Amino acid sequence: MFLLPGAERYRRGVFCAGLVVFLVIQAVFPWQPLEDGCNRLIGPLTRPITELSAAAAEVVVPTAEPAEKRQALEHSVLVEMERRLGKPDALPGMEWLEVPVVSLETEVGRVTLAAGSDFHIASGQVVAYGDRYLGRVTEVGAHQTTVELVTAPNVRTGVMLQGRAGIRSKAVSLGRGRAGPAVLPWLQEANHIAEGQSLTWRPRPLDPPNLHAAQLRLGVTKRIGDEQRGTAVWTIDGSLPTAAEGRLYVAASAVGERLVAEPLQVQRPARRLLLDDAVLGSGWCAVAADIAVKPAVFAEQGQVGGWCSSWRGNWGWFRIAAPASWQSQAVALQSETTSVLGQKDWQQVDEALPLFTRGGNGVPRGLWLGFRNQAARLPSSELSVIVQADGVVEDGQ
Amino acid sequence: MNSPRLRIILPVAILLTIFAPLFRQLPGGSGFPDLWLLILLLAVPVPAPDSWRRPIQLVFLFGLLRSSVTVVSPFVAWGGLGAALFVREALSRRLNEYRFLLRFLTGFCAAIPLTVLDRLVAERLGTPMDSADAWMRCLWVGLLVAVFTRPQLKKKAFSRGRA
Repeated sequence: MFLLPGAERYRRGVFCAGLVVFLVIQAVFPWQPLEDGCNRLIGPLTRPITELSAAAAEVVVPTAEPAEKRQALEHSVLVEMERRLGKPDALPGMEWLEVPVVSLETEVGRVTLAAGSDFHIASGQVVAYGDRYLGRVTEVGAHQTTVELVTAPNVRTGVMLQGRAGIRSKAVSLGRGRAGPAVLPWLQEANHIAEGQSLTWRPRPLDPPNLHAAQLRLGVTKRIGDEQRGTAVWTIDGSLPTAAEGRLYVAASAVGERLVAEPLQVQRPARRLLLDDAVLGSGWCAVAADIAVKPAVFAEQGQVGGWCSSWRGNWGWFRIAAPASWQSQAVALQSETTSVLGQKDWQQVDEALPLFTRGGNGVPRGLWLGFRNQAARLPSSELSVIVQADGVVEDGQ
Repeated sequence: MNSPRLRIILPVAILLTIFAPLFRQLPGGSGFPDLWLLILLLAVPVPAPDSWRRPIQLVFLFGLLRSSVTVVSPFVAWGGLGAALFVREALSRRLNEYRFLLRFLTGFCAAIPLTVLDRLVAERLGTPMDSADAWMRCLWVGLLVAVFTRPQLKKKAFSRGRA
């Protein structure tokens, strides 16, 4: 094609401008597959420079190895607490299968569990935590299970209403997802209902008979909406317990060999490269490890020191974070009241509570973060990284 | 890439990359200029040559070097460095490059895209960059570019095939 020199120059200019615009758009609105692919590609190329930079930094400003040893709590402390709080009472002829939670979407009333048909879970099984009824298993995969909570859209649940004078009446709840708490569209005795009445789960006719004896709670009644406009409805007031974000219990009348499923956590030795970022400054460290998948966190002496922000083949960048910096990603253990506290609750407590990872987004639950008042700790040269393999289950015993 | 000037620029860029994390740790280091942007603006002449091939090669190379010592995505470096060249090219065609203040303004404006992208990423990663540091980074780039890019020196720089 014949182009005048001016036109050719213009064409090249436009091409370069288009390339730059594309790069800026990718920088502002990152498309993760492209970012990941690029990181995998450039990681081995850039690592020699990173190693050289780390060596130079070590020569100019040697990093002192941390002398103090911090008290390390086993992550099983949280697990033990969750089991104590969450395992429902034993039922004759039935077993409660303990399954860790992979992800929790409370707004849409959906929970994904880390076990599936490999753990003999079947559709329709009841899921509970402590004395609370949560929902039923709806989808069963090879290694994962989806549970629809009472609050999930269009989920109908049988309810037994405990009246003031001991009168028990039936009702049906309807989940609304993001629209709000589950409502009670049908009430057998609409005149006898009052605010704050206890609601228990009512089994279906084909549910195992022994489940009737469990007396699982749903919450209490609450009136919302405007009476004068005719929009007032009875709803179920009952939030998910914080500890239920860790593990739930599935009712089963026939079980396999194992009663506990744990997501596989792989711990690999790693080496610290750089301790500071050349653009963002302190609070970052580059870590090299012999793994291809992105690790979740790095840990040292059993204590998690930060999370992975970017993984580039066989090395990556981690954010060094103090225990309190994990905010909503941390849960606290209060041994006095034997409870697991979410972020809002542990921030209101004055004492230095032990914090653990909340789990989700690829980070295993229950890893020891440290006490709330502790500062971030600079990682030493030898540490380890932890990878959570989603969908792979292993006996946790 | 066998130009004598590149033989100097590349080792200098690699050397600066190696010491960049230490440079940032210095007192007030968070306000220091972006080294790769500075080298790029000094290495690519104004007005840019007809072929944008070499400037774009340098953008990608410096972006790679930059991403070897930072968590910030290489796309941010490439986009920011490329945008800096375009901003400088657009301004330098309209402003008198023989006046120090206007050269400073050109360099200052050229530093804005990369600094804005860095701030955006820092915010996204949960380590917000102070606005004073962002301004300082742009000011430093403007100042150094104004000092080191004298118009008479730019005529021969990177003009392949030209006298």
